[in-house]
Amino acid sequence: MAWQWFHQWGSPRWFYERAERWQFWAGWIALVLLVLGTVWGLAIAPVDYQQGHSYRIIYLHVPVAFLAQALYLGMAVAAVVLLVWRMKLADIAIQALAVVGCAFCVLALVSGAIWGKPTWGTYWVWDARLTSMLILAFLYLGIIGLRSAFIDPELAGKACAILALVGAINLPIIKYSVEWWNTLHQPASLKLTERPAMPASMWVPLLLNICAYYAAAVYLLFASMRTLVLRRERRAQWVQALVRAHD
Amino acid sequence: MIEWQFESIGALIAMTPHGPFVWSVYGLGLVVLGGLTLHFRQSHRRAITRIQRQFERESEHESET
Repeated sequence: MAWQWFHQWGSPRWFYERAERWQFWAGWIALVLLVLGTVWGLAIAPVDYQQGHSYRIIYLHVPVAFLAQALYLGMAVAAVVLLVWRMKLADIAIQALAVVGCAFCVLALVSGAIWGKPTWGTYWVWDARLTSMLILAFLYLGIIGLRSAFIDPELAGKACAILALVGAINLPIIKYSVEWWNTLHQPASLKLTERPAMPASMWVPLLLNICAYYAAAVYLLFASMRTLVLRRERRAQWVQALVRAHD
Repeated sequence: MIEWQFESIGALIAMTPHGPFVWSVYGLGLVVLGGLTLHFRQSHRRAITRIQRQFERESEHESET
């Protein structure tokens, strides 16, 4: 009984039927929080006395950088589930997480580079944090590319899962890069164990934006996964019935 | 208390001197999030259309044989 919730995830049909509702709510929550968080961050949060208005990039950069790492962690968990339990949905999740995670990772790198110009005087330095994030982007691209290199989808899934697991070693390197090496990049803006160095008028909108981008990621993941489920299960009776009802 | 940090819309857009940096980042964010949303919606629609066509072809083939 305790494992019933876990086994339900093994059914693509069970997921597809529920994901539409979850996607709907995640989409609306994301939209409302994104509008609120962005307006708050851009127009209401006070200006930084050192960085001026350029610090407002934090309200996009930090959430997408968090997500780029969190989605990779999610992909590593899905990889374990796929390799141990051979759950179809885990393979689909890896596919969706790779695309969405890659987009967030590139956005984190580019927004960081643009923020770097007024703050550090350069778009790019081979700093430990920046380099480890670039490696994360290459890992995402590698997983996307690896899948298309195989004809057998089952083999492709296993290969991607193994690469996702091996690449997870990069996550603690990203997290601790600012402590292990002398870097230009500032330490974490928000920590669970410490009070933020910023005043509440700055970190509250940041927290709001983190929630907004997490909801947006959930929306995008469900949107992608639902399509992948349909493609994979196209021969299943429930898909036939669903498509006929769609006419 | 909500306190606007800019005296006018012009000042908000200018964000002197960092407007181009800040707005280009948010513009890019909008393009990425909006682009992914549209892409996934279209691919869902395309997947349904493709499966519908496949069924039509298969049912035509069955009726011929």
